[in-house]
Amino acid sequence: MSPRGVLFDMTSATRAALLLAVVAQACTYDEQLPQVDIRGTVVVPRAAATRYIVDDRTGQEAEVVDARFIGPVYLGAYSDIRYDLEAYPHPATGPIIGGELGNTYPYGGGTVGVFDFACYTSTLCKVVTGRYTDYASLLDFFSNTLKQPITDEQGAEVQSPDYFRTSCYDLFEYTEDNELLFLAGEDGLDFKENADGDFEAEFTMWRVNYHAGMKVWGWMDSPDTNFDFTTCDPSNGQSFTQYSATFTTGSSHIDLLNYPSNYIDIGDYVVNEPFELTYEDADAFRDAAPTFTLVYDFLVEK
Amino acid sequence: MSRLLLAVGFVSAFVACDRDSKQYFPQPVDEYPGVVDLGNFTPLTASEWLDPAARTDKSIYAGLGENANPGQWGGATFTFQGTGGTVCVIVDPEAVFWNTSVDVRSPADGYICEDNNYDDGDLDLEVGLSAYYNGTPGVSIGNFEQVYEDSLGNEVVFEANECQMIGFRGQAGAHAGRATPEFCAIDTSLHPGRDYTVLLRLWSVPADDFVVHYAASVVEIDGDDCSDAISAVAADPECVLQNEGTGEGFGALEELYCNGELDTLCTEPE
Repeated sequence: MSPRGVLFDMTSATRAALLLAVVAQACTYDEQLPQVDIRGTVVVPRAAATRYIVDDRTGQEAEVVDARFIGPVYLGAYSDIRYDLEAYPHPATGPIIGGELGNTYPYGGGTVGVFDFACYTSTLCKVVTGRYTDYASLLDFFSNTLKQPITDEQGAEVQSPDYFRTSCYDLFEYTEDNELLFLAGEDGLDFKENADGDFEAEFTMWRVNYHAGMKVWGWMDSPDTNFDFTTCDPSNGQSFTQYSATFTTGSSHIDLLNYPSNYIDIGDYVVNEPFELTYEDADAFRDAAPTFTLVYDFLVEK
Repeated sequence: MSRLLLAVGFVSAFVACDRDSKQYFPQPVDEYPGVVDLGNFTPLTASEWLDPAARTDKSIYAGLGENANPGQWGGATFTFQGTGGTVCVIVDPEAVFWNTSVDVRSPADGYICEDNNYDDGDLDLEVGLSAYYNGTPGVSIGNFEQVYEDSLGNEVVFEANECQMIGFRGQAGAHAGRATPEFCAIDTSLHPGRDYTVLLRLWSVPADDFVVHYAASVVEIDGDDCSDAISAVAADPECVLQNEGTGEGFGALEELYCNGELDTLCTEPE
């Protein structure tokens, strides 16, 4: 061995191999985190994407099937789902404090689609991410399908995608369309029609605290006839002051998963059969890397 | 010259010894224990509340000293039974309400009534079902934190204090600052006849006598907001339960304040 030490006696190839082995070793380190990412597919029935709309030209009611009718789809992991608390399946709840509903204490959750502000206050709490490819898709849906044209802050109907883009860039000080979450692009749409005619999308619930036996459940917030959503809070979100106009951009209520029954309404679709995670612990879950399918097939009618 | 400097330094050192700042370190007072249980309280009816004499007679007027056990919370507790409706719980610690001259946010030029900076205490209000209170009345002060075990056996700590006060920025769980009255509505409809515990948590005692005197009450109300009950008897919550302080001239000064005459009296004409 040279006086300088064993490393200097190695060939450069040996040193490189040793370094690679050390680096590779680091990559296999298991932190044994108690949180897991849960992945799978949500399926909403075709009826959730269907509306009957009167055709202005013929006066006849026509069936319109469009994935842009699908509202935000919520998922939560809970200790249990019960069928005796509400008129629909609902997570088990803790003590009732002060007359308020019991907290469900979820272990984690996620969504497929979130509320996003589409640059004009006329879109407040009406636009969900992953539903629109571009400006034209959004303008077309609101004008021709919903019959609720988007208007700018002066009350004029927005008809030009370029004007729409200019307004967004001016408001948010953005320079590219991909900074606007509500524009999904052709490849970014969440829901696709499946072979059964229903609509399905992939989901990821990030960093859920894993407890063996927990159940994943959720619901879809259906828009009402005015295309408003009960799960959106118009006073929440980013605040703007533009000359004389002051407004907030709207966002989800902060306690949706804790108090679902405050927000689930007639017309929403709820998961009837939650999937149960039976793996012993988070490591066992990660090793199995399972995927699940969650069907939102229970229509809330009362 | 050096002798003179030495003498000045010697005198200065003795002057410095004259200030020990003891007034900033509250000491227990024998007559006013730091942990007190006041027993059961019968909520006032609406008519009793509207009558100034009955409101004073049937409300609690007491004092609270520093907890003799260092590092432990002090406070007072009392219970009332759920009425089946909504009640308003209010506490008014002495004093601070006329401190216009020292209010740095909106100072009044030429304000001549000097505020006593050492007569202000502070109590924080918490209310919940007695079953959830984990202190020992009269012995130690607790809180309303409890543990819920979910269907899978996981333990979740939850807060059963139902006295939710909203802060300036809209956040829940706020408390009023120095000596300011605190109040909140408690819906007892789910638990009529059950005991509720009111906790007056000692936040600070006045520096002049180490005893915070206070008034507290519970009143049956319509609706779910204390505001109507308070505005029905006073324009300012400070004036709902008067004479909570025992200092010399306190009552007279408070009366002037509550009659809206204090500012006129204390402001020099230009």
